[in-house]
Amino acid sequence: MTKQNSDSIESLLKLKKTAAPSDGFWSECFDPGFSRKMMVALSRPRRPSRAWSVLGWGFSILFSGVVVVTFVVAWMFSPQRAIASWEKSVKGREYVVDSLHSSQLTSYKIETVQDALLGEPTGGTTAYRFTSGTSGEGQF
Amino acid sequence: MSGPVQADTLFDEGRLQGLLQTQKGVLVRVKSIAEDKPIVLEETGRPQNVSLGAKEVSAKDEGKKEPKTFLRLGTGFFVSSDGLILTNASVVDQAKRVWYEVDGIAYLAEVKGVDVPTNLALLQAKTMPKKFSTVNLTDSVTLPQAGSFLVRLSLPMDFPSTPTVGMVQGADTQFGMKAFPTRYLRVQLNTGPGEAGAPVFDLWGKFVGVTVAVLPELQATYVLPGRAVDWVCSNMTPKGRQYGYFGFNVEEDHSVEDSTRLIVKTVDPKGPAIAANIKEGDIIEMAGGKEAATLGDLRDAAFYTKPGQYLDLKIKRGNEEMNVSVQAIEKK
Repeated sequence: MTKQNSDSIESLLKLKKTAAPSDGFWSECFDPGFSRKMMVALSRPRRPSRAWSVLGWGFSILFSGVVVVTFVVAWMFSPQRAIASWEKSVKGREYVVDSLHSSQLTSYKIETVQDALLGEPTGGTTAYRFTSGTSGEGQF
Repeated sequence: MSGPVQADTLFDEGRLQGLLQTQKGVLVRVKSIAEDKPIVLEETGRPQNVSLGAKEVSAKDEGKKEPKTFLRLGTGFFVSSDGLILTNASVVDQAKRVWYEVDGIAYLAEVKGVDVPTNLALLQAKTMPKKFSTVNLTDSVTLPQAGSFLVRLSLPMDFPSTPTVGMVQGADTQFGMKAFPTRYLRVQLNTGPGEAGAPVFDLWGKFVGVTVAVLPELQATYVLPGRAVDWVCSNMTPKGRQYGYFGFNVEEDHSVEDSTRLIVKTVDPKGPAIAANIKEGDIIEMAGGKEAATLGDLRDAAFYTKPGQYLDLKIKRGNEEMNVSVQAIEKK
């Protein structure tokens, strides 16, 4: 290392020390608006050519984006949300009763109208389905 | 002393309340979405081959009704700690979506199998509540006698768990001209909307069966006995339970005084019965180790014989008595 070079480095170090943000850092920590000032200072790279600030901000934005997308996707595909949307999509509710004589029975639905609980026939009765057998004879 | 019979003279109220506490957390409200396809009635007035839950319309109205999407609601209950739920087939048959609710919170489920003849469906919960109780199907009682009191737990309409007490009126194998696949208990319980698929217990909390159909004229409900429920569940496949076919037709003969007997009327030349040496005119005396005097007795024995298994029969041909075993094949 030559002397010229050594002088040059020393001068550079001196310059750097002058420009360093750590000068008076601790004494300024308790100043009003310190957080805001720090954020502003951090958001403005001292040397625009420094790519690290861009990367830092890029990473933060990317991370925040991933978190937001994760929550949105989890909400979109949650079972409770899916079930709620299925319930909204139907046109009527059918409380099942299996009757051996379906035409003689009705089922009811409940609707809250003006704070009143109303029963309304829906005809939502299902018939028990016999599959085999007649009186007196059987196939096995 | 006269006057109304007090409830505590019939039941031990403390026992009933204990039963409700024991069975707390077994019930779920099963919900499903299915298209409500109209049934077209034949000229005879009987519906053709249709799914459960469909509506009946006359032929002239066919085409006027568009299929509507309906939300079906019924009662179900947990039968295993890994999330198996039992309900009526009519609640979830051909459903596009199935889920269930416990204390107002919804959980996803899928249909594991549907057995239409017994009106049972087995669901598998995909998500489950942290705490729930199960009904032990293998702990079921034998058929209760007529006069026994039973308790049904159900979720009528949007109400929470509701107990109802009813008396066993009898055990039937057929209703009018139509036959049940096995013996059903007829219980004095009037099933209401949303109570399809409810479990029934005896006064000691033992599982008795599942409600499968209501008989509104008598305000009675048919209950599939616990043994049959356990049998159907343990043999349930995605296509339902496989029923056995033996290949013979039997007729009830009432010509004998004070009794009936079963006579083999026809034998399927390609069925398993002919291979077991069963012939037309044979009299069936016993089936599955039990006396078989009625079609109901034979139906009961056949119900518990799945494809591949043998049904032991004691038959009488002329003066000769013989024991035969017929291997069931899958019913098509």
